Amino acid sequence: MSEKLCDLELAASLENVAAFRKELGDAWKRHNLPHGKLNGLVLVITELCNNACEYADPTPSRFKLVCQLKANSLEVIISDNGQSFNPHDGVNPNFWNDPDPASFDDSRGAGCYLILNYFPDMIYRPSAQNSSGLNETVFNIDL
Amino acid sequence: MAVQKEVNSGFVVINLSEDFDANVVSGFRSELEELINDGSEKVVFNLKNLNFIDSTGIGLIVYIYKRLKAGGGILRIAGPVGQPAELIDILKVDKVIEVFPDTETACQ
Repeated sequence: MSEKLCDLELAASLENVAAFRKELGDAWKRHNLPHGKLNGLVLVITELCNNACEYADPTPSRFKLVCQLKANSLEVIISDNGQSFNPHDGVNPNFWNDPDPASFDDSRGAGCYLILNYFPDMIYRPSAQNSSGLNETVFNIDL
Repeated sequence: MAVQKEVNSGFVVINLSEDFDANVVSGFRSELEELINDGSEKVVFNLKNLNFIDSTGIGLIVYIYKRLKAGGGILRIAGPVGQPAELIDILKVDKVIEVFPDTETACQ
């Protein structure tokens, strides 16, 4: 048995990423879910959307966020129709082993590192592998 | 979001509120560059009222820190709580930038 926590599709833009965070935060409160799990989730969704907006070529026109409550977990699927980009391919291995803020620059943050720090078991399915034709990032949160 | 700033004991205190994400940063960068170009050497980012920051926001703070440090200046962070504090901890930002509980202590 499962229940949808949220199902939202928006035009892909940096301006709209905050709307995903708000929708998710509101749904989280309505379902009285553990607050400590929300910080990582909204950050990861933000970083995934940022990457798609800033680095995909072509950039996506749509983002879709679906969160499905299951017995003891939440399944999160975030998808877009831009160029495929697997966060596992974007992490500097040295950064992964020992994050060093002194090596940050103004244009490159640590988005992929953060995504995998919170959800190392995240699955990425590029559009070519999906019947939906969308790139999908899937991860689960134990509740 | 406009840069909300004040001066405290010779430090320029930049008050961030609500969200400091990639969308906000894009409109914020030039104002901060101007601040440094105008000669500000001691800067505090006050995160007390900040709800959310992403890697782009942290990246801009670190960039400003590096600009100031290169010219002999100082940048400090004050008052992070909640998600911003969690992110600072994960990225070990406090290894390179001093973090204080509030602006009063950061400006000493």
